[in-house]
Amino acid sequence: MPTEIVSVNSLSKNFGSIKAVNNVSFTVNKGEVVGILGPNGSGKTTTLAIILGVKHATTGTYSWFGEKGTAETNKRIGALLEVPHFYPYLSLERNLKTTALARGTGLSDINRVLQRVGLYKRRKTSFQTLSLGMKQRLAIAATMLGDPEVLVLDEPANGLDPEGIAEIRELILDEAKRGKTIIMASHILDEVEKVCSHVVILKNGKGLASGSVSALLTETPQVLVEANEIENLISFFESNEGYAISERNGNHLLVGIKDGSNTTALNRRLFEAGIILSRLEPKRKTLEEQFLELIKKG
Amino acid sequence: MNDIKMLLRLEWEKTFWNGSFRAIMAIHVLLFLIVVLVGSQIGLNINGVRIDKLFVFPHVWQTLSWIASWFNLLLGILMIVLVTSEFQFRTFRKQLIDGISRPQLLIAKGGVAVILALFVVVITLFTAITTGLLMGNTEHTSPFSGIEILIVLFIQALAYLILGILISFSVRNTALSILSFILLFFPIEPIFRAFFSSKITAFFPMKSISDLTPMPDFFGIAAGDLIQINQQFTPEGVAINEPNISWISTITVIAYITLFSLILRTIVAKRNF
Repeated sequence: MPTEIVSVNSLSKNFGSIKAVNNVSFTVNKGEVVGILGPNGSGKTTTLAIILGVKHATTGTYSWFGEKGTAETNKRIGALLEVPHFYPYLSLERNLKTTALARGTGLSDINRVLQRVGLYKRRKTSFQTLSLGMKQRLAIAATMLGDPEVLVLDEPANGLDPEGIAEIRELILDEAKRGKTIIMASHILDEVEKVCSHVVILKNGKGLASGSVSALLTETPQVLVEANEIENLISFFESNEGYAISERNGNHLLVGIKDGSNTTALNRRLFEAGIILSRLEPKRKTLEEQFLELIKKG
Repeated sequence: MNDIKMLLRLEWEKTFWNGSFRAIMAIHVLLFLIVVLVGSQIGLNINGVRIDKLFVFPHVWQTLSWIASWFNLLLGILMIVLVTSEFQFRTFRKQLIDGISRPQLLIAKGGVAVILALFVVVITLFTAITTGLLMGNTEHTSPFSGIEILIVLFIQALAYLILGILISFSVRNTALSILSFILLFFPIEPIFRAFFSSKITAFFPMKSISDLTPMPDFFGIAAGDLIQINQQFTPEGVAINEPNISWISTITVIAYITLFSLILRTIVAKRNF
């Protein structure tokens, strides 16, 4: 039985007539790395803001560690919401001191987290002198103060250069390996695919899908087929149930197999229908393709 | 108790290095000392009474409390700057995420308000003692008679500061909060007061707060002087010089502080940060 870290039940948030979050439910278990995906304005940040207690839900409930979310449960979470928020006139060290005091983690961890994100040399400079990417690194450092069991990261790659993105990815993977539960909102699907074990997909405040990344990606397997008699091939797929042509490119067809049958079965059926394939290649959809498809449908 | 210590330490960390805090505190102390210094040294003579008479024991308590009260408005503005900058930097949101509860956000700012009000009392106390010692004691009463006005000064400063917090949490924008704060004292409340009799207007919030530390009874002190000169130190002459503390206003203001705090608690509980 997995240990439940956060449970969100029918959460809704209205801003006037706009439904920013509309009946969203999901659960995150211990050790999972969950990506919350969605286009801009899909309710990712609002959902996180509610479960972190900074915004009130219009309806619905949430719980952390099996109890009602409170300031006390927040102390066990390292969270970065939207953009980094710090006192511009304070040094990095002093800014982290305010976080450590609030979280009750003690001050001895400040140097470690600054070193972890490569800002130790800048610790005496004021926050306002940092570049956007450095501010982001500081915010990530702040989440790691006191080594909390859960990290909530809203767009952690925001403002980072490619090297920085790779570093933060490594950092998140490291934390995940150490058994941390990580909830990460992002629209960089490639990053989510590399890092996350589970996803929750939102659009217009509604939950479209949730589950493990691998299950989501193998939901409708695709095959790339090629034959000299391309017209016969097309009529075969059109006249038989369980197939959907998603793309034609010269003699290639990209076909979705809905019934989940494998390439061997397909090959046999085509051969029996008198169609000889010159190429048959299983295609794994990328998260991006799957995401865009879901978003289009939703 | 540990929580309060943590909250005050947190407030200290972020407030002490705040440029606006240092500037406004420096202006506050300097202006107060300059006014006291100049006031006690210019030796103006009005209707036969020298103005420096206001700076001798025991009148110095009321005079300095009255002068200190001019600058309470400045402290109210400082409080607004401190609270609204947290909205500007979105650091209230950060603190909530870090595990500070909504009531704790308020307790922390309330703690700052109490410390600033105590600061006003301490600086007034020390300035009054110094001034009084330098100027001498010409009255035949205890030099500490009327020192209780410092309690009233504390309540007044606290009222200005809590009102500043209330306006900041309601308005959130720094410039608009400062403007609302000043406009409430003049002319918004005075316009409303025009429709009511003075018995009722005495209980209006801004009026009762400003009434706490009235101008010293200059003519009373002058009359006391004349009586002393004419009647060879009659006790009646001394009686005129008692500082006039309005305990009714004091209770009214304490009630307002409580009311402001209750409204704040509701606002902070309901607010989306």
